[in-house]
Amino acid sequence: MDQIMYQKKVLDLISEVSKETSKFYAQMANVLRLYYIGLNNIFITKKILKNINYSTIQLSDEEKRHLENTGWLLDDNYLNDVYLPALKTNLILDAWLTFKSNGKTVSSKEEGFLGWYETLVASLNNDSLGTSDKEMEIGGEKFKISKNGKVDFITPEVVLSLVNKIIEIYKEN
Amino acid sequence: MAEEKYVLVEHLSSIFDLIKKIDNVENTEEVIKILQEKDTRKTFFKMLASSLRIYYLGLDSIFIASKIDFEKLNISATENIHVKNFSWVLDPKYQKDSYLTILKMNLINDCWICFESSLRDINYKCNIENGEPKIYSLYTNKLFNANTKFLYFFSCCRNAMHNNSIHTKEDYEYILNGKSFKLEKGKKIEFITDQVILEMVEKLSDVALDMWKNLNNPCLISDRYNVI
Repeated sequence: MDQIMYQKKVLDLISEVSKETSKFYAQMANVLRLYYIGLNNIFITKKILKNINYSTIQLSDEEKRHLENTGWLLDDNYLNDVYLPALKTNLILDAWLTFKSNGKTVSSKEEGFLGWYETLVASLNNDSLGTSDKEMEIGGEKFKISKNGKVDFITPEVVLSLVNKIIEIYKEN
Repeated sequence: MAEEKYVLVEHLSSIFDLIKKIDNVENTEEVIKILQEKDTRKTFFKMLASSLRIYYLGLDSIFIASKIDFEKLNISATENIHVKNFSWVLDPKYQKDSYLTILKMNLINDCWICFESSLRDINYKCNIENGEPKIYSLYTNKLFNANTKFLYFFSCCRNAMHNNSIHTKEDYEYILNGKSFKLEKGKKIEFITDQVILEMVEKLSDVALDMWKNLNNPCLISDRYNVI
């Protein structure tokens, strides 16, 4: 999926979540906004800042440096090895903290997913190496965390479906 | 408002200076220079600088949104919505209630992950503690002769994020750069200002460097993420 389409998808989820009024939804919308802004920084840098003639804007040397530093996002190695994985990891963690801090009692079926998600968070906090063996089926697809194996299934689509699932569980309980 | 912008630029410059300092550790410290490229003790500083870059870019978007006039740009309707949304970061309420807080929380967590991952890589290779030790038991191992008081303080600040920023353990006090920081059981941690967070990250970098020096092991200790 192209980046603009993906950002639109994140935006749609933010709109959906923002329709609800409780603290959980407000916090979740903010967590998603942070993710969206992180992605949007890439778009803005590649599409706009790259082509701006900075000499037309009145800036001190110190300020110019901060405009130029967004160029880090033009480096594909930095983008793919560091920036994008960190955005996804932080979204997964922040969504988890939002869910936990708004405490809900859930059914045993959902405890299975939440236990798996907790292991996922612990694994991502462990240099993306699985902390225990756990498998979960989401939307017909199986996601396996293996102890000491690299967690490498967190695509942009997967991260949104995980957050969606957390929102669904909150809504249904 | 003018003063706020000034403070932001100053803070961005402080972060950038710290990134350069941490990036430069391997060029200035003999003990790191001699290590191989994939050694986790070297990777630690790269990861720490990367975590700071993510924090920096999050704040930099506020600065950029305040400086560039996006209205004048010629952009398609599909893209324009994302250009308009770039100004979300200028909303003072969103900044105060959420954006700045989450950026800081993520930075503290990311930095701790860098530290914990490197320490676990070292234990994996050197078998300092058997089995799967708690991180506290690793960094307090005498082999590292670490500044355990600071590391405990940092870990408490990090762990509080799992409890709405509330410190859940016994009261604890740490003096960082001459200033006293008190963690009180059951109370929210509220002292992590722009300046304090950078002092904490800088100290973590210094403390880890001392630990790697004290370990005094010239063999390759691989970053497991890159080898498994």
